[in-house]
Amino acid sequence: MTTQFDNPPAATVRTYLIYVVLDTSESMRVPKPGAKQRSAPLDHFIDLFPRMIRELAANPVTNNLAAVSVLAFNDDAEILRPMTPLDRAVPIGKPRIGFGTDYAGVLKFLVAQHVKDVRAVKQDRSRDGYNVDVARPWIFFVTDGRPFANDADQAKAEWMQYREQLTDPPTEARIVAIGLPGADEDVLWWLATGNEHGLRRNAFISDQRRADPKELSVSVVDAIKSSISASARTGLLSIRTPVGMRRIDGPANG
Amino acid sequence: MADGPTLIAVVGLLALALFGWIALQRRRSHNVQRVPAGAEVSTGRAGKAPPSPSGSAGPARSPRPARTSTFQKWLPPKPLRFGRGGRPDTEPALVDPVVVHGSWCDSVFHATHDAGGTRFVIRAATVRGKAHAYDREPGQDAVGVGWSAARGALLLVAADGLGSLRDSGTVAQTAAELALDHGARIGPGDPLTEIFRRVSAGLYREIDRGGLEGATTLVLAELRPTRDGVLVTTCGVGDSEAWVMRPGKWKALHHERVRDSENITRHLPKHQPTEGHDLVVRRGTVVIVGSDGFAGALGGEGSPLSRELDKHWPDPPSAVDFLAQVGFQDDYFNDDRSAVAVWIQ
Repeated sequence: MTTQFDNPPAATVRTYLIYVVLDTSESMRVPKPGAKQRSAPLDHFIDLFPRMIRELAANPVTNNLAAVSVLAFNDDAEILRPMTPLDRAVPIGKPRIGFGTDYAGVLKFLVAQHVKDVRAVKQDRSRDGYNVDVARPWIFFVTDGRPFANDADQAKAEWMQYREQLTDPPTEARIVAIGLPGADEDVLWWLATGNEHGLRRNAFISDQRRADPKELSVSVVDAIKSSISASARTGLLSIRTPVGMRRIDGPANG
Repeated sequence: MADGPTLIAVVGLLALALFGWIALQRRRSHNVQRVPAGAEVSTGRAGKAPPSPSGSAGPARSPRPARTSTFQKWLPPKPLRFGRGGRPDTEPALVDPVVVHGSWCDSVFHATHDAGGTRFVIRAATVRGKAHAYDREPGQDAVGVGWSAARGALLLVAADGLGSLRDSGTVAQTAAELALDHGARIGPGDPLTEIFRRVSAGLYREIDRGGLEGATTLVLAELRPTRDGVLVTTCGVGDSEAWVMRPGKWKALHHERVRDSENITRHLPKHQPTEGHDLVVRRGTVVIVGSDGFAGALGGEGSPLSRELDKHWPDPPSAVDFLAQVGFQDDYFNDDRSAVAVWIQ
């Protein structure tokens, strides 16, 4: 037996990408008839997510390891906050007005954008002596679940192909779909990912009165911490239901 | 006798000289490296922080938490000394097995053990990670060391409770205690996997009895003096690791690093151990076992932590220095840290 000192494994730092995707179509912008001002679904989430990002930035784990991008889509997709580490303050832009809800368009956009973001984040985080590894992204998709483009409803097959490009290797994105009461629960369920059996998915209905950004951020932080390789029994593919939200059980028309 | 104006002039000059001397001393003693928030400090070199790539101040950053450096070198703490202090520090002997765990506080242990013409100098420490501290949760690591007279070997243990389960800290501590207990009981010819079999059985009993919800990684290294040197045997479950180091040279004896390790960390009592590389090492070698919060930052010659330890570990550091080294600061490493290191002399 001889003493050999060769091929030690490289130290690796892992970084986490989080996308918040906001549906800014007309149906998300318009309050229900008889409802008070600023009660449209979009207003609820526009209030919720900046606070959620601040909560994430306050946590030392996610602050140092995660980067967040905010996207909006209606007829087209646009970036409101480029993928930026949480320890850097970047303003979130105002979304353009549009009418459609082009799921296929925004999912296709995400497929391409994720590749660019991974490259940029690796370059940004690169440090002498460490490998930089980018974990599977988390995508928080806020929508009322009514895909509509080019003056017609968008068939499931039309957007599912891009959803699968995101959720299949090599990206293996984890998608959390969130809507308000009245959203199409089946569409949210199909959009979301979940545990390995695919039944318990991260599709939620948010209660406008009770949804708490702190609670949402706790669920997100828990999910990210559990997906960090350090000392986790399993990667948390199915996040716990945040307070003020209800998990969607499954498609009624499966 | 000097007259009034002369006296005032002399006193004034003396006061000016005194203020000047005090100012000079303050300037000398305040050799503080001032770093703007967000700047990175290079490792191992005192001096200016490197400029930002763009040469500008960079984008504004959120005020909390402060990100002052990526990897900060440690300065040795100096103990208070009274009396003449001419006698060198005394290293205590290892008497009984010791488990060090730091649920709420950082802990350190040091000792020596002599066997077969070899001196083992032992340092063990646990540090609660930033993530657990922020979440007001206890640390979940435990490390330990014990001598088995039956096997004529020193046993090092590191256990890292799984953060996703509530009682994992208790389970990790129990696993370390059981490992040292069974390590002293098993026969000279038994493999280290026998310790794991017994620890798993013991953990199932403890988990069942206490209604615990927990699991842990466990890595062992056995150091047995032989005629050719010290035979190091390792075995482990999960992402705690065993390494050997000579200054400038690092080798992992047990690790389970994989490209995509998001889905699972192997753990006790559920999983089976894997045996690491056996190695005969000579004097001047350091054997280390540690949780991934510490060992995950080791990586051969290129790792910042490995490079720093190359400079600090040719000889055993003092116990408090070792604690500070295990608690190295790096924005990317927030987990609990624990390590037991043995210098073979």
